[in-house]
Amino acid sequence: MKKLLAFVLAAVLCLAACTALAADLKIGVILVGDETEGYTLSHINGIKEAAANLGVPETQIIWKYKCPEDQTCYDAALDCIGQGCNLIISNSYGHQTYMVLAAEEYPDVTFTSMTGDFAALTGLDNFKNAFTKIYEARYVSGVVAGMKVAELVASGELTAEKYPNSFDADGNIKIGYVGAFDYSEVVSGYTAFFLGIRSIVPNVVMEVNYTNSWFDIDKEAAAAEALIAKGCVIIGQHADSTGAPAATQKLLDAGSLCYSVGYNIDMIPTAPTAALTSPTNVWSVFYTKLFSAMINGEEIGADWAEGYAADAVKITDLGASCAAGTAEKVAEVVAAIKDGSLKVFDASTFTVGGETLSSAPVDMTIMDWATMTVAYAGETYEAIIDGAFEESTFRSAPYFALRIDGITEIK
Amino acid sequence: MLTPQETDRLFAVLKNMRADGKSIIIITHKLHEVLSISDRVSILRKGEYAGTVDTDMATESSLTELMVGKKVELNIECPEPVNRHLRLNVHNLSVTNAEGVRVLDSISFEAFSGEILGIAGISGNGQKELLEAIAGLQHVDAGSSVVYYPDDDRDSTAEQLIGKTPKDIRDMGVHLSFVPEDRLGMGLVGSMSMVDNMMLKSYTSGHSPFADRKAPRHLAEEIKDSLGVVTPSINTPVSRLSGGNVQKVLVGREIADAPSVLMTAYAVRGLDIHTSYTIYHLLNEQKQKGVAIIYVGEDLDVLVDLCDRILVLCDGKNNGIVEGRKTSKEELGLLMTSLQENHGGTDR
Amino acid sequence: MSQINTAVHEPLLRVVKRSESTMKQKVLVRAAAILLALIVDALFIFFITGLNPIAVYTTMFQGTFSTAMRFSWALRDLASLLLIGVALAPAFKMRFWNTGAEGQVLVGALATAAVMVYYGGKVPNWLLYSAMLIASILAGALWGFIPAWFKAHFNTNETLFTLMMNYVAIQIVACFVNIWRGQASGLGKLNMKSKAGWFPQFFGQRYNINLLVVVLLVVLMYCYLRYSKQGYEIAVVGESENTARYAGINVGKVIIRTMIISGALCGLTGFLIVGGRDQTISTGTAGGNGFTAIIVAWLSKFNTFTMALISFLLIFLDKGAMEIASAYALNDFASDIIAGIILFFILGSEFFINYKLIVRGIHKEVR
Repeated sequence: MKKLLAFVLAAVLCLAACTALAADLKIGVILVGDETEGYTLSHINGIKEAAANLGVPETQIIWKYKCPEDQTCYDAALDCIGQGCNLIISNSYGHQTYMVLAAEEYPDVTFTSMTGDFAALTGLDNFKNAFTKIYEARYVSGVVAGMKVAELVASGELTAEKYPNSFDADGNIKIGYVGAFDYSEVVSGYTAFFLGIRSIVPNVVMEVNYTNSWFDIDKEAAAAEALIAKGCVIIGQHADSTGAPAATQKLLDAGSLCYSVGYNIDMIPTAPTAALTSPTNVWSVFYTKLFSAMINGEEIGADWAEGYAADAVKITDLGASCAAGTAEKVAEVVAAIKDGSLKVFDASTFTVGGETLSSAPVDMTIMDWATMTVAYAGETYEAIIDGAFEESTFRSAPYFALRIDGITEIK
Repeated sequence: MLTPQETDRLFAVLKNMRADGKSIIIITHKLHEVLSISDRVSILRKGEYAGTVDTDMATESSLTELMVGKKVELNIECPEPVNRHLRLNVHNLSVTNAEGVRVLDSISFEAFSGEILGIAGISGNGQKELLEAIAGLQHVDAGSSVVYYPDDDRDSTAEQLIGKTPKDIRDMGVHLSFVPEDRLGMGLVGSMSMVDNMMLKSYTSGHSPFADRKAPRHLAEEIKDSLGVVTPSINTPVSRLSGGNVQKVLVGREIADAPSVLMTAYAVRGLDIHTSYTIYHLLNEQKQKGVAIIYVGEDLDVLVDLCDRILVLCDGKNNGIVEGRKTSKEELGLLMTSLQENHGGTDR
Repeated sequence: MSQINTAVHEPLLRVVKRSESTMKQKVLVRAAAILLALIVDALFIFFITGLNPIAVYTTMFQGTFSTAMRFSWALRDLASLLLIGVALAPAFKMRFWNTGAEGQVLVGALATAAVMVYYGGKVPNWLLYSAMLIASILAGALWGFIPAWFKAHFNTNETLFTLMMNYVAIQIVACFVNIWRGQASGLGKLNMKSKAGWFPQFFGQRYNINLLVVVLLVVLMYCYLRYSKQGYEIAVVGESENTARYAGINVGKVIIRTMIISGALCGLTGFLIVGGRDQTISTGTAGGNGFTAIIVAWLSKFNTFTMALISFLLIFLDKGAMEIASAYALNDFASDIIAGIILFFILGSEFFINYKLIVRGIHKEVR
């Protein structure tokens, strides 16, 4: 009886898929947070915008907010399917293991696990991963920060006499970074940010302070305060709250020399004079492509990753404190990224353990670390191609995990 | 509680106040006190006004009749002990409490079958500790001894009870019944029904992991009927019953165990006169069955009338053992308040 | 001085304990409470969120009842909560305030997960399941034994002790999760490939085994507390330790034994959650149910069948609140308030079943 039912259901879904129109697309969206949190808000806006672009009515979208990365995610997916959804999207990495379970059980429903990393390895046709090349925007935001540092030095504001704390023993200027976890995603991001700054100001070093949480206002604020106390003049971040920019603004007002580069959302309302800009994802680009592929019955690959070339990333409006000429410089760098003349991870711009890299093998295998067994076997690729590390090429999720010279992690 | 001497002094003060023209209201359940001091008596029964009489016209039995609502026999019998054999030999029993105070000091006495041994003393002079030490509920000092003689022949077997828990004592086959002072805090479980309270000391019987409730139910019905326990049902929590009925349940259970030693602490405290006499009669019944009874009381009239011998505790010491038939309230009162030179003496 | 006010000032409202409520009274009070809750809630929904109350109530109902799958999920979640409630029942009946169920569940879950990780695929299935079961029960029992031993020997405060043990358990679990996740960002499901240690499908769902166990335990625990000698001892110790000693009960032994049972059942719950529901472990495995179950156990007065009803009510409200939040894109704080108001009135009705209010001047005895 159950099998018969499954067959009938499959047949019906198949039939539905064949005659798919915008109105037949029903989307279940599983979100780790809600609209009060920047990362999730940018997904919500992206999905709404894409739906509006393609004429998918809002009533065809089921939202599941604040879904933890556990069995709840699987339940939410099945619940959406029960309500007729034929596309399920989840927006947090940890949802992936639960999404794949549902994907195995419901081959006629498409599952997209945003920021996930093993869709291609599962061999499932209905399971996708997607990510933006956010590291490109982080590089550009680094350029913005670098321009500010250069201005501070040029104006004589930032000198070793006035701010001895802000220089290390070798005369390098200190930069700070509030990171969530020590995953590739974060490593890739802060390295790009650092290289962006160093493309303008050669003598910089950076400290990364981890909070071990994606969203924790207090911890992020505390991490930023600690970095500023050490003399860091720029505070970048890869964490989702406004904690760090708010703390930076507070200390700037109190007389410290510090500016903030945020993430996801425009931080100017939070830190009017401290915020320079924020790198951010333009999710609507991907969602528009995903929805239109669903509507038109087109196939999209297991991995999707785009950056400036597809306008899938950007930086938010420049803050009032940005150095003169920043906008022009940003335009120039973005153009160079778009035409391929500038590569973010150009191997000639950094060293690892004092050496310039000529080879960087990356293994796509997903391990089950608990039992030390292979969960999903993947190939090993040579990531350095034409003198640059190719990020987000072999899969959408970042895999740049090299610790380059000039950056120290505090755990 | 006041000694007779203190009571006399209080009454003298009250009489002076009356002579001064003051009006005095005294509330008591001791009828002889009412008769000796008052001019008029108002009687309340179960929260209702039962009447007012002139004291000159009243007698103990007429007042009791008003209090109870029916005629009551007000004599406490004290039949001569029959078949008197040594049951319990307490020797050198001492208890030091948690604060390091010696609350019982080298108490020695014997209790015999077919006899009621009274324990007199101002409350808090070691009565509670004495009974609990015998029952295995109290940690005693080294050198203390409580020997139980199960047979009438004192040379046969003897069991040392010190160092044994109540369960050990029961497992030895010693039927030691104990009606503690704190009825709902020790003797009974207030939130449980009569049935469940019946099984408090017998629930372990049998090998089944499940408790038998048939026998306790039967026993509860029996006690309810024979002692006239007023309760909506034997399944009503006992804490809902009045003090007298609670005590009937407790005493009923302890007697049902067919004890060889029965200890009661303040068995009639707070009870109406009718229930009190029911309890006295029950004790006498047990005495005649050959039970050794230890009766801790505070009403000296009752002690004198009911007990064959009376041990007086003073400051945790044995201040003498007197014959119930030969002693007087005044002698007891004196022994309760002033320590004798050679305390711990033998029977007088 | 000539006029002395003899009348005692009577307060406007007086609270009086009812002697005994009849079945009809109880039903009436509860029905009134639910009706009142729905009315107050409707006002909140209409004026604060601007939604149609009837539609919101329908949605709330749908949270549990709209599909067979949702209903089965509700039962699955009910199983975890109810099991912990059942585990708490003997301890609470003994007036031992075991606030450590969360930790006892966690260590049971951790022991289960450890067996899955280290022996999954290496030993036959029957042995693996047995080892998971035994390990979880032992771990939970240990977590119950420690505070009980201290209570029995040093009369330590069990509420604080068991509460603190939760945080120890949480930290140990966090530590192991961190070890097991290795270089991955999260632990994910254990033995994802081999599915070793995952409960087999039973009537289509792995968690149906949990439901079976909970039904069994509800009945067993009811009988244990109601009819067994040990259950009787627990009741006596709970009522008065003096009485227990008087009755010849070894109080320390009963406390330790009962807490071992309580902890072991919590550990078992951890086993069922990991094997039958989550197939993974995190500090959120118990999901706060260890604390919610305290409310369940307390409200039901330790009757396991009443526990089932109260657990279901809590799960129903929770699912309803989630569905409202999802369906109306409402902030979940708002949907929690909607569910909370209903819960508040239902709990409040218990007060009016045991007590009545007397208004000043009205002396008519309502019985």
